Amino acid sequence: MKILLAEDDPKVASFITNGLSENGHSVDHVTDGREALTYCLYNSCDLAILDRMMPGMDGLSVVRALRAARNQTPVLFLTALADVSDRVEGLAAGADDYLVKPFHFSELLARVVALSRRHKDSTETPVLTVHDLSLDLLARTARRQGQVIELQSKEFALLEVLMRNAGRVVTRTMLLEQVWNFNFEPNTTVVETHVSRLRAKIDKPFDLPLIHTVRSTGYSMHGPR
Amino acid sequence: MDHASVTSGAAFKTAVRATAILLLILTLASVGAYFYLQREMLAALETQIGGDRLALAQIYREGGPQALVEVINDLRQPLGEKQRVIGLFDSQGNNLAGNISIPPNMAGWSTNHMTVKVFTSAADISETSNFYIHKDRIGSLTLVVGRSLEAVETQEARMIAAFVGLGGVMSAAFLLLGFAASLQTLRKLDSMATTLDRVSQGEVGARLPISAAQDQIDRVSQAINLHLDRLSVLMQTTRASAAAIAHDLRTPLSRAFLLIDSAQASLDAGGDARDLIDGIEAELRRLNSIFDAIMRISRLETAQADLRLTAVAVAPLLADLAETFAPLAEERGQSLTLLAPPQALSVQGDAAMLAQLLANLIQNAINHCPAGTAIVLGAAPRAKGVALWVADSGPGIPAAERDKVFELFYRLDPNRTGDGNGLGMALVKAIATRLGAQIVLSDENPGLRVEVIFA
Repeated sequence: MKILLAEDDPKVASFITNGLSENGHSVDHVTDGREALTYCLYNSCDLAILDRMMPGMDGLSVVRALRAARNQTPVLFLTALADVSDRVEGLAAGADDYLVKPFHFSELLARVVALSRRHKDSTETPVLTVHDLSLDLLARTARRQGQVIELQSKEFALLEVLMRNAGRVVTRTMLLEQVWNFNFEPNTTVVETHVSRLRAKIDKPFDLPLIHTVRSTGYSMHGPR
Repeated sequence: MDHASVTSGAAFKTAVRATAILLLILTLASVGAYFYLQREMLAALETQIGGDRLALAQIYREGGPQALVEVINDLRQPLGEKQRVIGLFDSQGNNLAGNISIPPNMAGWSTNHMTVKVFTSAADISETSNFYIHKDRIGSLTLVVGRSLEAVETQEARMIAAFVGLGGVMSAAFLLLGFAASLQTLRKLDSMATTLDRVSQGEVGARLPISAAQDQIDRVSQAINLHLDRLSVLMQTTRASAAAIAHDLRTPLSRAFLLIDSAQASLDAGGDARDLIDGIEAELRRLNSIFDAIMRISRLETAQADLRLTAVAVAPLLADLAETFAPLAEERGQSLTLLAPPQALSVQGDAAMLAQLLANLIQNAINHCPAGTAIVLGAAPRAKGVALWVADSGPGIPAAERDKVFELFYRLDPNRTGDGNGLGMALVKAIATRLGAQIVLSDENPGLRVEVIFA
């Protein structure tokens, strides 16, 4: 995937560039907002990672300008501003995702992968399937090996996010945002506790676990490999 | 304190303006009064002079010129008062009788400056004065009758003197009062400036003097004092917070440093450092969460723009939170129950912020209460507004400590080993304030009840 990175801190930039390159992406790096806008408008890229605060032109203005020019390049914001209002403002401007600094590289990578997919599989399927587990989004039922599994609404939402991202890593923060709509880090183990309850229902009674823990990052759902 | 700064004072300027207006009014009034008085007095003189003339004409008609000359000569004594003028002249203008030697030029009424003879017992003397006179012909002779204008002139002079005196005294009084008021204001303002200067020099306890007069400046001073009080409290809290922040940020930092040393040692010895690195990460996470909370609180407290509040349905919000946190409570041997509020209940707020607020309260209850604690989440309409609450049957907070929990880094547990970072309640308070809600802590007997009250 061809990725544009607009980030003015050289250390952060080289760390991200190296990390993404190691994961098979080609990264072009610019250091200010104006360059980023010109790059997006005249070169095509699959994803733009923009620092929210940059010299020249801030990330917010870049996204607004891009969207005004009907450019739909997916945009991921990197920011030190963690407020709900900042987040809302960023997404309203047209950004596709929002990542607060400091972050783990694995967190960034998971979001980059998710964003690259989001634009490919836009077709909505009413039934999600992972191995022998299926989730009917309309009937709101889960079945494994033909057995109906009773889920509470949060468990259902959690499973849906994991299954939509089957084969990819979903981080704790992504789950907090997408399942609970929490834009803050709770001091308790909300995600862990709910994942463990979900596992008790969909994994424990069966011989093959489908939810896998990704060390210090999050979870990934997949069948046998 | 120089003259110029007093005379540039508002009070003095007002006094100057008032004086100018007063003088203008006085001038107009005195001019009007002067002419009115003059006209009235001349009219009175005319009546008197007309009476004299009629009497003399009667004498002429009855006794002819000779009788008139005699009568006029008999009037020598009254004429001696130099209040009157009588003169009888023949057609050549020669004086036949009376106390003036030359007739005036003008016929009819006129004001004349003329010399009259004053008849005294010793000698006749001449005096010059102003007279109001009437001259006309009587037969072939010319009769001049007049009265002195001295009384009129005296009255006029008195009146002018009175007006000038009044104007002068009042102007002086006005200006003096204005000057005094300006001086007083300036002194107060100077003392305010001095005091504020002292405050800015670091004497945070200095306050503006308040006089008994309770004037505008005193009211401003009171308001400033109130602000100074708040500011000094804020400064003290800020200093205390800075110290607490330093302490609370250093703790995880120093732990992380120690863990890094251990990890390096372990790697040098060919061992595994994964657990140690996890430990480092946990400490950095903790550091970040403290930092994040401080940032959020400070941004909430300093946010200027109006928040767009929308109606937030309470029932689904609480149901979501109960479902989210009930498993966490269960893991710790506690229970979290939802007292379902009326479906239609809603508050004016922001769903995400309100969720964060309540999540913090629930987490606090879970973290600070022992196993077996019952935690209840509920909401209900109140006489005025809506109350949302989190109540627990845990150890509670002593009444004396309840205000302190909102301070940054305050912890009931003095050795700071608890799960929290001591910022949860400060964040709760900051969010509530931003949403225009109040936080009320009360005793649940046993336990703690925290209410979020929307007016």
